[in-house]
Amino acid sequence: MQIRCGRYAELHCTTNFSFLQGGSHPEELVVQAASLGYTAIAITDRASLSGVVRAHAAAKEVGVHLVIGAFVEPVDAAPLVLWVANKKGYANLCRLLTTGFLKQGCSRKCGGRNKSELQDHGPRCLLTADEVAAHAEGLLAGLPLARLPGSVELAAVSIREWQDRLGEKIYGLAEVAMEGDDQERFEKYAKLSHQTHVPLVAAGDVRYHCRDRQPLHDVLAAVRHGRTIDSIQGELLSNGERHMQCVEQVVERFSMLPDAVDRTLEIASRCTFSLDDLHYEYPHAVVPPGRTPKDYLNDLAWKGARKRYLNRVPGKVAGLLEHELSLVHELGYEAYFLTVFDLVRFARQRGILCQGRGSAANSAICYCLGITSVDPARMNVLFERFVSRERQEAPDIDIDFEHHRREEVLQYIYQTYGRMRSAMTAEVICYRLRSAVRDVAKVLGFSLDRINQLARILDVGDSAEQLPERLTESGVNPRSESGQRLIMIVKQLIGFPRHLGQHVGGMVMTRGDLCELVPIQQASMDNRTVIQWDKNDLDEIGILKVDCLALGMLSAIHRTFDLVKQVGGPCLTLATVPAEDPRVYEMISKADTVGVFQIESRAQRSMLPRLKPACFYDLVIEVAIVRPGPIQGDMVHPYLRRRQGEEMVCYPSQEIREVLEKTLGVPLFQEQAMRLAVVAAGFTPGEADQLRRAMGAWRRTGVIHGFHQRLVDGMVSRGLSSTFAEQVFQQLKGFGEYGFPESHAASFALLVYVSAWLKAHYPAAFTASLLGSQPMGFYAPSQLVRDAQEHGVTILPVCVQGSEWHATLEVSDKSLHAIRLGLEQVHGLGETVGSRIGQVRKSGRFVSVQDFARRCHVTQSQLLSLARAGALKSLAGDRRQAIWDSMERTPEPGSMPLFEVGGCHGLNEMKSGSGEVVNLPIASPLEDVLSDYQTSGLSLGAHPLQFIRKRLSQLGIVAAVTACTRAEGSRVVVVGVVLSRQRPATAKGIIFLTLEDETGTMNAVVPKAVWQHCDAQDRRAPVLMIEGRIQRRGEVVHLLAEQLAAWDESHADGPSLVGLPRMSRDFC
Amino acid sequence: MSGKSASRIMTVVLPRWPVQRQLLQQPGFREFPVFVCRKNARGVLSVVSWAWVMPPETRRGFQPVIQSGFSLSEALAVLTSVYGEWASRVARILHEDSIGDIRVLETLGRWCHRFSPVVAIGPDVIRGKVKKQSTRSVNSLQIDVSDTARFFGGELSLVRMVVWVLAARGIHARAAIADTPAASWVAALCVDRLAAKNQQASSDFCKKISRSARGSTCLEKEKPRSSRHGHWLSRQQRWVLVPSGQQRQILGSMPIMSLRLPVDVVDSLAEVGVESISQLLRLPRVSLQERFGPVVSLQISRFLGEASDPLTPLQESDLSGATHSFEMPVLSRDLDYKYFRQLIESLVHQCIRPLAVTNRGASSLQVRLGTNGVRGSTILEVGLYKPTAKTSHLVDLVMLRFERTHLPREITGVSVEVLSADALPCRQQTLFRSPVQSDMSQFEILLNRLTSRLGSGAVVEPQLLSDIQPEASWVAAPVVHVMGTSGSCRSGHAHESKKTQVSKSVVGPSRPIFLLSRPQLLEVSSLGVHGVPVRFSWKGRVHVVMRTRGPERIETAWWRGPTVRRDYYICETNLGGRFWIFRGLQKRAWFLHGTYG
Repeated sequence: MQIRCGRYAELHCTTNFSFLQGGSHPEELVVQAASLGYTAIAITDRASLSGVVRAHAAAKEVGVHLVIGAFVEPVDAAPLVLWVANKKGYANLCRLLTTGFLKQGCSRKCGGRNKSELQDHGPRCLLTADEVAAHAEGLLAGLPLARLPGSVELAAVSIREWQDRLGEKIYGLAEVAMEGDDQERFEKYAKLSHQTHVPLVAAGDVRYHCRDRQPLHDVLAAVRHGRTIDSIQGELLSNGERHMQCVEQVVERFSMLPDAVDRTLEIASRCTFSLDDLHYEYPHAVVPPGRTPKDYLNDLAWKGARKRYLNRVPGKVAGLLEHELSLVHELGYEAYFLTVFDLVRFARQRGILCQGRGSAANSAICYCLGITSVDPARMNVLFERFVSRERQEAPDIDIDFEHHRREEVLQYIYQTYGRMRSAMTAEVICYRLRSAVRDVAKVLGFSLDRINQLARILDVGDSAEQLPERLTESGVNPRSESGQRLIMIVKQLIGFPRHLGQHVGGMVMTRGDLCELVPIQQASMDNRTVIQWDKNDLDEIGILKVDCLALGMLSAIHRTFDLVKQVGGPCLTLATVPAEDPRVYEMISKADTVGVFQIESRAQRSMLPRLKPACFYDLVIEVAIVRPGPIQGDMVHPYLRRRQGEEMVCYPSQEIREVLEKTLGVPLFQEQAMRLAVVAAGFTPGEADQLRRAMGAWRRTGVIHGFHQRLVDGMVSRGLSSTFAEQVFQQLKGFGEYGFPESHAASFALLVYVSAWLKAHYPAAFTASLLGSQPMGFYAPSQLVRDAQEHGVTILPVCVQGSEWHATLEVSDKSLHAIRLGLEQVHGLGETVGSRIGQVRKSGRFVSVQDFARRCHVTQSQLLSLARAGALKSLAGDRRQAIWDSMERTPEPGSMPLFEVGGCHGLNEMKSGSGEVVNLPIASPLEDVLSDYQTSGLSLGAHPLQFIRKRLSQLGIVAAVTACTRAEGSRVVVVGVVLSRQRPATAKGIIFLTLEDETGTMNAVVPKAVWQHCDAQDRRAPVLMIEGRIQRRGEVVHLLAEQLAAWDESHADGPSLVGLPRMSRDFC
Repeated sequence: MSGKSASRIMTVVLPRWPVQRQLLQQPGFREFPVFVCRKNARGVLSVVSWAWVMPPETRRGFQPVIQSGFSLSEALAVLTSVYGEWASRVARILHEDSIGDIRVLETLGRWCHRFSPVVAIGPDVIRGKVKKQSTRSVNSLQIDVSDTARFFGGELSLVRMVVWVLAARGIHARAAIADTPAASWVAALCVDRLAAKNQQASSDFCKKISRSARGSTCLEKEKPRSSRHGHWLSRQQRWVLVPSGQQRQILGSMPIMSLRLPVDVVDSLAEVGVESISQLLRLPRVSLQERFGPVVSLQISRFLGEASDPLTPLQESDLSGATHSFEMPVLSRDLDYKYFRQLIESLVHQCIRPLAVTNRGASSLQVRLGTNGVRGSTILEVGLYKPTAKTSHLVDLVMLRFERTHLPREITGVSVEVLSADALPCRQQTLFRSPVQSDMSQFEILLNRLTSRLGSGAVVEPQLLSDIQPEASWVAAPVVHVMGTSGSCRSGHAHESKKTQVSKSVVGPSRPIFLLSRPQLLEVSSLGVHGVPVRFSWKGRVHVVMRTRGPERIETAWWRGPTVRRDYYICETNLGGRFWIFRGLQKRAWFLHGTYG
């Protein structure tokens, strides 16, 4: 039985990582191979190893021998399937593909292929036959004979070409697919083999694991060609035979060439390489000569500790440091710490703010090296959360850098380690519902406007199960044939990889050549290279990556520091901001936190007045508590009740008290969960970390149940009640994945505190910096400006006579400092021109629009953008006059050389008289405000709703402020500009809307049913009208929506808000 | 007024012209909702105009509100919501044919010669960004009525007559008379707005005007008439007279868009708050010129009558025609064939001669036999495969058609008109005309003859399509694209089918020479080892299979309906036949699909 089943190995399989070409996931192919009783299966994607790690994991699970390979198409020879025989071969294959891809990098720059084409087909691997031959050691090659040209003689020439280069390694792949001429093909193959002595191997050119995927494969082909399915039949396969056949069928089909089937086993057995053989080595650390990494790290850590604690290292920290250093040494992670230290040192030298976050903050070493800012003396850190002996896994350090300067750090990495030893991690971009529906519908011939309509109706939160419903809404009958086809294929397509993108910041570095570990290809951004594996693949292989993330708030803080210094304030750094300022906590407790890091969102702001943070640790809790984990684990209310003294806190034992005391007996952090398992159930720290990971994955696997029993048993055996144990388990389960580690929350809380401190003490500088760091945070510039005005900050409009590119501070008469908005607010003006204006102004103020245009060399469209945004008001009088003036056709610089010689700008002087004041209709204040919003997204004038308030009152619509004073349960109608739409994953489809009118904001809660009831146009309207009931919880007031509609201009009967752009920031 | 030397121009705007001219030509469509659509750059069909002349009485709600610019699916959804699902099923969707629109508009213009000798096609409607819009869309006529209005009882009665007469023909028109073409265009375009604006003031205004000494009427209003076709014939006022020299006052509040300024200029002006004509007129012309070039001031001058804006009179079509009228009606049975042929020949010759000068040939021809009878004249259209300048060939084709045409009893005259002409294919000239080289290949002559005799739909040629399913891999496409109006729809169809055709056709390794249009069930009496038939009967004879080749598996067409799944074999039989047979993989039955000679 064993022999009969094991008679075949499939050596030519294309997975869906050959984007838009394969019709099955690698895992599906491997599992199918196992169930059909294949001895081995080769994954041979087009110039890609992206799918092999997944296949490898699946193959280990089901026990099939996996052969790694790739399909390459040299530009000057017949295409080949390459199989990896040994480790050398694997390195060669990776290097070969890298060669091909990086060549593409330069050809793309000069090539001029358009972008969409590239997106569809991905970067191409350009190789020559000689390059393949040069990297052939350790590889075996199969030549798909069906792809060879024409006659036997011609085909024999191609084979000989390869034989000359690769010698014995070449096999002929005899592939047939029931296309009517199977017999002739076999005869031809046999003839070729006879003539050239190339050994024949059976193969199936597998595109999908089972026949059912044929339609999907056809659709993918059509997507690739960008045409409808019935127009590309020439490109489709005529039948579904490219699936994995059962062994008997294969044997029967190849009855003419029985050796070919046996030879598959021979090749499979020659390919002994497995991804498990890969040995990842972290790069050597940058160590001064004569020092070992261990010494050096010890030295740095202790030096740092003495500096941090001013030579008085607390005993607790010293102990931690000892423990950590020995563990790091034992696991050999010194180099890792040293490289991260190197990055941070580089950033500091360049004056780039940075801060480590995540579990790294659990490490005293990181604190002493200056990577993180969470003081282990003040916090309970748990090093095992970061590095653990049991976990056999790389530690994971995330570092935030200022977002507009992160590129410098990335390029530093490339420079230090070289392009062949470092690259970014990839992110596999997969089909989601909307993209799948769009592509499939297009291919199946749905009309374009129907597709647009459908895509508009589909919500991000929708799943494939809701597709029939959505189809009905957009006028397609889901039970019709075409509707059913659409649904069937979309369901299959969701989750298919579409192309490779870049990970947000993961950099991989190696000691040896990275390009021998995984192929590297050019990323879509210049100067970036990306590997073919994503972060899950890296985890599977055990490769370390350093996450260099970009954080806008760091930029904003840096900028605020600079501005404060500029206007004569103190010289501040993250470390020198005065700690525990009561004014800051007072401000935070009032939820006055627009612009403050992390705690500015709607959910956070409604929590603040209830939590009333009074010290730094409260901020840590605040950051951690408004998270899906604690919310789902139902930990928020017990905590609040206990905090307000409404509920007694009792601890079952002293050890547990130590763990949970800080959070009043409610576990809020991952570390607490782990520690609880240690002290209450007798887990080792490493096991506790496994428990945490199991909790994270409890939905997917059954691993958690083993831990469940152990946890409960452990607790009971230590004298705790089983109900308590159950309760703890349920709580842990709830936030396993979505909870923050304490260390991470503490890192964030530090930024929260610093930004809140800056807001409290330097609101003008803080707002100006936020405006300069957009896009970031929860609020749009218009809300930031409005908030600053409410805090008494004067805001001056954009003006070419005063504005720089970024917002600046000016001394105004009303208050000490006023914000002068920057030219960055003007849509359609580039930064080069914007900063030039400030430079030019230094040589004298502008006297007229013409003078400005001439001196700053702005194009007419830039001039118009400035005029529209009101930046030329000071030169022209009012906006319309400025627009009128800038519409004048000025000759292009250089087009009239005669008038420009000798410094005499004759033409402009001649024309300067034409800047006459013409009789333009005067804009109403509302028109002015609307133009402000259209051209710069914010207005310093009145709120648009103020102009229709009279009419609103007539209709019985109340202002936000009035609505907030109404009693619980009273019914009101509110109209407001939508500031944000949110659909938190935890809220079961509930939508949170924030509306704004001239009196303030109103938070509306829209139940799913109400939201689904209104049509797409209403959902996206800039101004909404909501009828609902008031809900009060303490100081927090919500409007529970019962009806919702776009503001209908026909009600207005007067000033119209038509032209108001959407200002909402949508998180759904 | 008649004594005045100032010119008076009447503009007749036909807002629903694209759909109405279709209805005029295909009266059968009056029973259905008809949409004339245009494909935008992204491939979405949008409605240009629509009509439903005879909608059912049963309506669910209000009148359907479908505006030009709606996407077709949106429009159909509106229709469905009012009349139910069936309405969108019966809807006729036509593609915009602006050339055809202009051609028929020209005919209408010639008809308008009864009002004045100077009739011009109105200006283009500016739609979207001017540069990107390549299609000309014209839906108005401009008539110089300076001296002719008095023959029709004054301007008021003239304008009313024009609108009514057109309405009686099923054409919705709005008309206005003013001093300049530009002003009358503005007035005609904004008739409804002018009417609405003067709604309140109208009664006393009219009284005041009627009291005025001249007795001429400004903004004369007709009581709104209810219409049976209410949903598409607006009940608003449909004509306006702008008294001489008063365009500035009366049309001042109209939007500047109606001055036919480029869209970007209108946008720019709107940005500085200039939206009406009077606001525009207040701006200095010099500054306008500096900003927008000469176009704005030119249009203003034209509007005010300061710059001349001559109408370009409608030209007779450059395609020639020739007419012969008999002294007195001839009975068709008395018509001598030979004489008649000669007559036609001379007429055709007259038509073709002017074309030959520009190396063009006729590609379609219309022959009209005039009668006095009620049935109107008999019209024959001859469409050609390729243009020709050969008189004898054209006459042949015409005569072939006559043989199959029922002639009217009496014939008053014969006219021949070239409907369309195209450049003749360039062929190298030879000094010595050899008999082999003729103007037209024999094949083309045959095609033309066949088409003339059998009708255009009957002459088809097979075209290969790239389809894996054998019976769908070819289509019988009409060879001749009949030119002219009635053929436009058909040629559009042929165009569509061509588009689906792809360069690469799918033909398996060995397709049969004769393919049955539909596979036929085969009686298989016994099967062999691999399940392949050993003997089967076909056309009453029993065939014993000697050799088979295959299988060729075809699995396709899942997007059209149930998946076609077949295993094809080529069988050679003892009787020497080679057959292409297949087994359906679902029903396991055997079919014959073709033979190899």
